[in-house]
Amino acid sequence: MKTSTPRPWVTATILLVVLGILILALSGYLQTAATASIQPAISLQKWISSRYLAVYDLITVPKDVAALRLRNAELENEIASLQTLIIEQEQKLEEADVLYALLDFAREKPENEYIAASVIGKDPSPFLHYVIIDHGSDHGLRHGMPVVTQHGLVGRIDAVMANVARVQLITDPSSTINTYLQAASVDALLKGSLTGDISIEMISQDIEIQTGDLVLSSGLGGGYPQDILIGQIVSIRKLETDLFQSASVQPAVDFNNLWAVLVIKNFRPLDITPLQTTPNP
Amino acid sequence: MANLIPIPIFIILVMLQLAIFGNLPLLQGTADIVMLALIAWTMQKGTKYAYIYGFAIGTFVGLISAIPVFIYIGTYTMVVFLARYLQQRIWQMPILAMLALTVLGTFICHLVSILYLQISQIPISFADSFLLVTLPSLLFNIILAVPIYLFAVDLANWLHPNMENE
Repeated sequence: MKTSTPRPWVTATILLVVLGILILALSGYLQTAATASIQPAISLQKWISSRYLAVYDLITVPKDVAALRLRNAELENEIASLQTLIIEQEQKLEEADVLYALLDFAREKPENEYIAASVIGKDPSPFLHYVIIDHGSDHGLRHGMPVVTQHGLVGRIDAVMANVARVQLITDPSSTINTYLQAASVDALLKGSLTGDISIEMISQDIEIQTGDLVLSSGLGGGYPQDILIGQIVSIRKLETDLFQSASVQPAVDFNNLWAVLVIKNFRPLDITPLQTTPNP
Repeated sequence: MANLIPIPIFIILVMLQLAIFGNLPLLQGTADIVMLALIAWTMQKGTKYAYIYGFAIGTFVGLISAIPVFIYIGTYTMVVFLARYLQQRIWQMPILAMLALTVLGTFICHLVSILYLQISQIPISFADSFLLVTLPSLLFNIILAVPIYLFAVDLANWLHPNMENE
């Protein structure tokens, strides 16, 4: 008669083995093995994501050649006008540099270093707005580094492993960014939401804002660099009974088609918690 | 050995969830094929160590997500417990049990997530969460429940042919 090991013993043995592995992992002894074992999974994840992207592009790519040519012409005109604007701004910047030097005012102008990364997945929870990118600490990424695209601000790195990182998007409900309204020259607070819509709040009632005003990162709090485009105002909510007015913002980045991002490598967020006042006991 | 083969399948399902199903929202809701696969696999005859699977898969998904790992461990383990409980009571109608567990599992996972986010003072409305996330996710999960269950049945019959003949 074949005797089998009682199931509770088997279960207990398996749990002990798992516990031992967890303790070794937390102690750091399995770091090399963990990295080597995760890398094939990351490669497979990237492959799956790229195949899905190829199918998606095949389905959604527009077929109208004439519309594409017209759009191309419009974009070329826009590029030309923006280049003229850039030249004017560079001239003003040179003048400002001279003034700042005269005032002996040291202003940081970081020459941003970027790391390009591909988006390989989204957070499994539908309540949060996070994406997974295929670069991690081995590539120089650190917690808190801002993430952008050529269009504007995407978010910041929330968690990092050796070869992957998780990015909190600005549309996440827990995301809060100090912003600056360029036209009104006023600071505001940008918040995400469950639906992915972003809005600015804490705008004084006596400030005049208009639809189309650009929203930039202000750099206050040290969480993000200054003057990164976030979006523009599309609707304003101003009630006389409210203490502040608020506005909805159309993000500059299309988060529904986010496949590649740039991480600003040489920006380290500041930790201002030691400067924050604590209430008296 | 047969009880280890589902592990890479679950890992691939997590990857598909991240890369594909996470990018196919209805309103704000998405399908949770990992939970569906866990339910379907737990309901099969001959499957052992279902709670260990729930714990391991919950740990794996929780480490990837911004939701804390203990949330996924708790909800997936609870889903396994309900699957075992209903399997013994509605064993004559497994598809019905699968659909019932899909509904229960979706509500449990989302309710726990909403409660955690509320406790963490993340400003999400319960009503908006239910209408924009939970109900669309439930619709997705119900649509995918039967195909995933049938796939699990075929896989279980392939891995445990003796159980089919009993």
